[in-house]
Amino acid sequence: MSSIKEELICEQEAESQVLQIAQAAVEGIDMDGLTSMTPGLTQDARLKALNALLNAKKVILEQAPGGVVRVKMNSSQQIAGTEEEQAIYTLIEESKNRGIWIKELREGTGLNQLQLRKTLKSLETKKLVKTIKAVGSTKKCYILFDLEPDMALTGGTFYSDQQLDSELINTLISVCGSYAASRRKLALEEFPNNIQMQRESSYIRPQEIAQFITEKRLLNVPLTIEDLERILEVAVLDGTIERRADGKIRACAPRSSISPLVSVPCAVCPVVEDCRPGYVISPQSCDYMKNWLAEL
Amino acid sequence: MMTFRIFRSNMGGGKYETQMCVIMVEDIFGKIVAKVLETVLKESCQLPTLLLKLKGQMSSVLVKKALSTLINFGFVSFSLDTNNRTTYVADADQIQYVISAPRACLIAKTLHGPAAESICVELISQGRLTVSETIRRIRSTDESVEFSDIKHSFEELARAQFLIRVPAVESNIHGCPQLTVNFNQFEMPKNIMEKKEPQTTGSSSNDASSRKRKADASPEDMDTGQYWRINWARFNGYLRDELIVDYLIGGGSTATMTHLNVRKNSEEDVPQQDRTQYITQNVAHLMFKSNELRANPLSMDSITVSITDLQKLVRENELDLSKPDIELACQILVDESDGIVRKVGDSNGGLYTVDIRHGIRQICRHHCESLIREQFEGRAIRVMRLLESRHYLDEEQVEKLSMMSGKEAREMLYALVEEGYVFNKPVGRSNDFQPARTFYLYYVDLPRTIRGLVEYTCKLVRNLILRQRHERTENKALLDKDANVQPIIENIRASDQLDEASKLAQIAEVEEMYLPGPDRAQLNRFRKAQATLLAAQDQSIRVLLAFKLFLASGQS
Repeated sequence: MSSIKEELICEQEAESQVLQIAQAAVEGIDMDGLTSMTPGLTQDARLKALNALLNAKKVILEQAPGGVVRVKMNSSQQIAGTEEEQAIYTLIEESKNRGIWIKELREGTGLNQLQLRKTLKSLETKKLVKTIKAVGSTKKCYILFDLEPDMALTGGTFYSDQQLDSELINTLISVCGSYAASRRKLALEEFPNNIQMQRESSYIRPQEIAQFITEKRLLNVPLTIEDLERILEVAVLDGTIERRADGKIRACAPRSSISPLVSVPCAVCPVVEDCRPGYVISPQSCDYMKNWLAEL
Repeated sequence: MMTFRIFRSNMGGGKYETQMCVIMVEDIFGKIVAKVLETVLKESCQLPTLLLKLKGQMSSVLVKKALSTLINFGFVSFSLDTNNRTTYVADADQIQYVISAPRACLIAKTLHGPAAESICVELISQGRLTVSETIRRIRSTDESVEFSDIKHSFEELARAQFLIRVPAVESNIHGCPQLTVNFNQFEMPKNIMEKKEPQTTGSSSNDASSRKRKADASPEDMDTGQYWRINWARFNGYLRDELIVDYLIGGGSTATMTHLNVRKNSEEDVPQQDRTQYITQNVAHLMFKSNELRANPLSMDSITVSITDLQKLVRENELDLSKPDIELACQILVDESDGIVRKVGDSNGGLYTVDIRHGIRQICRHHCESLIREQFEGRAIRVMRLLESRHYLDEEQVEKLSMMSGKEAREMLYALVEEGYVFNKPVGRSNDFQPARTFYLYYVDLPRTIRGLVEYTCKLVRNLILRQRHERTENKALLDKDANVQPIIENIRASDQLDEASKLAQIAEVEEMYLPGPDRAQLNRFRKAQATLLAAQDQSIRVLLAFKLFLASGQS
């Protein structure tokens, strides 16, 4: 009796020992490592303990690249389902919010196409996983049902339905521009005689614009400062605002003059390439010219 | 002459530039001279070759006459080639000054008064003249002009280097006249004055008998053979400064000349709210004025000027500007000039520099962007600027950084490539440049774009001139009628027997009889159209100047 009891205690001890080691190794531990770390256990006892843990789904075996089998803590959530479902679920869970492609799932589990599809379908109907489409591609990705997909997949704040929301971007650009312009105007009025102060107070921090946008509820999702920086970058390119070395921005002085070339109809003439004196299309017979001169 | 060679060597005349020049010359000298010019413009050649090329089209006498006319106006020059043959070379840039001529006259008038304008008009219309001839010609059209006024203006213009001596013929080698080389045509005004002094004293010593001399029109002037012409390089230098000032103060380009007028002679009615604008304008102009008489009028070197220099200039030009005003203006200029005006030190109250190269580049960019905005939309400029600041980018990067959807970005890039604003460079991962394994990097090459735009602008000017000519021929009958009516109306105005009311009535009656309502409306339309076309030509030539300066400055 006592020996059996002893054996049981021994088994429990062995189990907890192995579990502790597995817990300590985040990346998992291979059998050789496990052996060297548990010198007090016999080979038999160690295997028994491991099996017990595997059966209890406290640890899992994972094939690391290179074919080495590692013992690892079972971090994934347990689902009521078949082995295949569990395997797939684990993989999807590991991909976190970046999503996993169906091809990667097949390679990771070794299941065939048919099995994989069936299993995924059942997981989907159980509302455990969902599919999303990455922006700019038709690739289907699986992620856990209750996770928000990563920025790289959705494209970030400026995408809706996997489409770039040009309307929103244009609005934000013009809001940034006009906010900066109004601040510049305010600065001019506030210090009519002090150009130094005018300049200083017309520069604003990007955070101020972010705050303004949040206050005015222009966006129903929170606007991160990174998103705003991208918008400001574009506004700088558009020439509506300029940026100082310390990151502060201000509105550019309006430059209204346009090139005199533009006022001549030839500038935007669609047939200018074919225009030759004495031919069908010629400056003499040009209707654009005629209208231009008649308008004045 | 060296300056011109350098200035020109950077650009070969394109097809449209040639066409534009030929049309300009045709307008002035007619078809024969234009034909000769076209032949020389297409390929520089010797006289026998030229005669051969034009064989059957015109007699050799006409060809020679045409050539001498062209040489007289500086449109064609000659030199010995390596085989000691006299070769004729056409100068397209020189011909383009025909369009800048009215502006040059205006500049002369603004800076040196109406007599200076008359001198410029005479010199431009005759190509080259001696001082005495110029004075005589002006007096023959307008008796009221004082002799001393013209002489004074001539001196002033020469001192300001707006006029230049034509080198005299020194000797003759292999039948090609050799011009005086050591002649100080780009010399400082003092030397020009010395050269000019004997001839003016010559004509003024004859002052008492000058009327008699004019009457018999004897060719025995003291300054016979000492010809003068317009120094276009100097005028171009002035135009260039004006372009940059325009850009700096962001004023409408037409307004500037009048602002310059204001600068010269009025402090009376400057509205207070425009005071800052007024100060900035003046200081910007003074910065250029400090460097007005440079050795090479088209030099691209930056201008450096200190507050003390500016104060001195303010006193010289009797402007109403205090030191704080100047400092304020300098600050504004530094702040808002996109780096054209920069502060470089604190000596002499503050040292500022005007970066001419950068200025010209900015102006060219501005024209480019203006055209892009018109041809595409604002976002095309975004792409353009992005590529300019980041250099080589592929489609995906452009899409991300310009925040456009993939489709929009791609279409925009293709359109920009097609119009020559953006270029792409395939970088293959493999030698076969298979599209799937090749990156297409997009980039901006401003000089290349501008070279295209030069041709394009030439075409535009050509079209404008052709249209102007067309309008003239279309309305020829009407113009003839008007030319007939004008003397009659003048007569009525001048007659003493009639009082004002009946004069007006008669004038109205005559006008109604010869030029009924619709005709008069048409005539007005025609005049307006002519003015528009001329203004457009003038503006386009200014842009062309900026483009050419940019290309000549050789920056990339």
